[in-house]
Amino acid sequence: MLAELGLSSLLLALAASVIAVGAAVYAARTDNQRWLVSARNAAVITFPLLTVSTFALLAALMTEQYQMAYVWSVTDLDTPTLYRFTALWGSQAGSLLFWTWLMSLFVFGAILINWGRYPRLMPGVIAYTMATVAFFIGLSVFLENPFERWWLDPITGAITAAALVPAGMVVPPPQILAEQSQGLNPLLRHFGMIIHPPMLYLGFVGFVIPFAFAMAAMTSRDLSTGWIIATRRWSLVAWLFLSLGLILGGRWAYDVLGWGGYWGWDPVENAAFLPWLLGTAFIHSVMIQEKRGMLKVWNLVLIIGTFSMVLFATFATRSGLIESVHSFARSEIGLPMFLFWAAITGVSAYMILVRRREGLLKDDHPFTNILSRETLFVLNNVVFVALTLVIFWGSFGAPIISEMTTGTEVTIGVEYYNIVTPPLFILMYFLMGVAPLSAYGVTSLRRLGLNILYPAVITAFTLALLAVTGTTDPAALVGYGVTFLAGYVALWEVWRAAQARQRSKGESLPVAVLALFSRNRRRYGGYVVHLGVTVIGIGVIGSTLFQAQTERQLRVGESLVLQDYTLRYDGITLATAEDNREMTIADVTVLRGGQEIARLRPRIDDFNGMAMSIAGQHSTIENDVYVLLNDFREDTQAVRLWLYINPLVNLIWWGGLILIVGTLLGSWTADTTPQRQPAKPVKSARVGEGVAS
Amino acid sequence: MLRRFIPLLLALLFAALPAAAQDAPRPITYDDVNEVAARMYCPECENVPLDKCFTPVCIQWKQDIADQLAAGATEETVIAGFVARFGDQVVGVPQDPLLRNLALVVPVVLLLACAVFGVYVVYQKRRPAVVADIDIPVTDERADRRYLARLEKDMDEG
Repeated sequence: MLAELGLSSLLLALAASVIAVGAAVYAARTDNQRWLVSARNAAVITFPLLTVSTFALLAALMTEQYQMAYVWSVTDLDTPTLYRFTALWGSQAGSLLFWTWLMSLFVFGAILINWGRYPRLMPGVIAYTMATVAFFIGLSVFLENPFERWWLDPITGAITAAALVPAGMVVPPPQILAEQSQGLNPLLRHFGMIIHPPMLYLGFVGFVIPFAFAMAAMTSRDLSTGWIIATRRWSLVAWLFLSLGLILGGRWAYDVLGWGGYWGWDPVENAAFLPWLLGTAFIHSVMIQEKRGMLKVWNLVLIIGTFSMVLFATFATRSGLIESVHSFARSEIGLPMFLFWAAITGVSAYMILVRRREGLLKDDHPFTNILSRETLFVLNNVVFVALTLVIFWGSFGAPIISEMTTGTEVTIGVEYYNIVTPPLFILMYFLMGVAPLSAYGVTSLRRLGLNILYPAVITAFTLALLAVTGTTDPAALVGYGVTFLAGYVALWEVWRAAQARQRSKGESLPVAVLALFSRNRRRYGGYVVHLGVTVIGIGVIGSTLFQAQTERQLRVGESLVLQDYTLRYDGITLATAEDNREMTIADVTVLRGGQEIARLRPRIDDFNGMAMSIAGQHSTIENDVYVLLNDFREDTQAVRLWLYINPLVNLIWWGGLILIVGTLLGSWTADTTPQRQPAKPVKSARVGEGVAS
Repeated sequence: MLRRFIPLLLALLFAALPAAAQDAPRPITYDDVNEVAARMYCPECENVPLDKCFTPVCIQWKQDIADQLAAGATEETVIAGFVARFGDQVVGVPQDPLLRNLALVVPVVLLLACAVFGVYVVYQKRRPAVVADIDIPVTDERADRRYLARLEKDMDEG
């Protein structure tokens, strides 16, 4: 029943999305308002239909409908309720449906909110968003159907999966299906997996809205700042979710993958990082277009690039192009996804070229000064694009070209990224510090120098303090220098403005700060985000350059020493968890200066032969004492323990929290809705007929 | 008779001095192996560093590394040996000169292209403007007023 319900609503959603595209295109070509209303209605109904489909699958997971092949493949009789829920995105077919459902949610919201405000853009917005939604529903219907069921041929005994019952086949015995069900991938049985994928997916799909508005602006030739104002919050929300997804992904890797780190420059991690880089460039760059009417082509390139990278990341993860702990198995959706990505990117690029040739993308102002804020923003954008290109090259370009041209498989690993990315990150942090101090239009070197003087002096003091207390590594000092500078500039800008208000208006400091944040949440929210990125940067530098590690075999009562920490192995505990995994738990005591500071229980979880090493962690703001159990010998009761000291690693998570707060502040801006955009003259319908305002 | 052998014995003892100065062979530790393995990659799990991988083949490879280090091989010769046997896939940046250049020169070209592009965008659309040096330290009352006025304007613009 659930399979039939899910499949039928999925088919209806496909029909509705196709109708929406067709009607929107026809409405755009004929300026027919009735068709536009039909397009809107078809687009809006897609979300409830996909909701029915998604919840049907969820209900099947919860109620153990093992005849459904997807439920059978991602759950078993021992799966706890929580992981039955996360199993919705635990494999290809379910996660694809979930991805599409989230995208339809964004489209639903964007259409309803902007319908009355941007009538000229609406045909394009509906056409581009729904074409994307239709494509992904099509993948679910034809290639990765989560509602396929197992069928038994009573004559031959063969079992096959199909969405509709094949001739002559019957339902297999439920008990046998239940007993043979596969269960969820052990790597996904972690609390972080409840949040990480949905956040990442929301970040990915959210960028469809600014992309569609940009394309709609080009299609309608309405290339004013309307599309940018309409998508400001959508872009920030998508960027926030993508940031959250990346940070939570790092935390999940740190806790579950058992290698002492949070970022391995894995191609799939990189694939998710690429749209974040271009998206970050975009949310900075649009400010220049809003305020100065500049960078029109550049902003279109950035948002199209961001969405193109979203599609590429989805293709790379789901097609089997690259293998990693994240990627789903090689599947049939690779070629259609590649073609869709290429088509979207190609058409978008062509549109930009055409509109540029028509002279519709001319900037309102020229660059007037090399040190102006807009110039520095452009330079920072160039750094983001450069990072995108070199990471794309390392993750996909070099391995694919090597294999295609020489037949040699190569791995582009951490060494590559350690060579090419640090100079760019240093430049990024430096410009992040300098650009906010510069003014729009004209800034002199002297003025910029005066503005940066105080933050630079405080940075110099901080570096001197670090050097005196033992941080003498030049790379670390350079890294810390630019990172602290960016953070101090953010704080200085708030302080300076509050001081000026205090003196001019007689306000107290808290009132002045509050007034600043309430007057321009975007600007000061942005400074909070910069502060968060600074804290993350300090955490990354500390944990990367000063990580210490050692691996030793210990018998009961023996210890190992690393820096000023001593790790004593006290014994082993063997246990079976509720979900039947066998746990081998080492009891260890951590001592510092002879004083016990923590008791940790690193363990190996065995899921029917698939083992995972779960770290024991003692976390402080100073560092993490991170212990992995690598091996246990029953005969001698000896264990092999791997001890890591990860300095400042927790700043990464705290910085992430600050970044979230800042982004929420920045996106919670006062209403900036422009005057209602006049609709085009209508040929064959009364203006406004059926239009919601 | 014995006296005649004393110089010879002394000479032998003297010759043995350097040998006595040498340390006994240091046992190879897990950390020694991990240092080499951290620069290599699992042959089965794409993009997983060898030191962090515990598949049977990786355990075997780490044992091989330990054996080679114990036999006196250096880190570089161990890695070169693995590359010769299993190809460039086992290291983070290819050792083959052509592939190494492909991996490392292209990013430099990309970076240069980005830099040229950035300069081009700014200079192509540049119009010289008169720069007014009006800022004085923020403690000055006039500067405060001027700064605040600019800030207010900025904020009004959103």
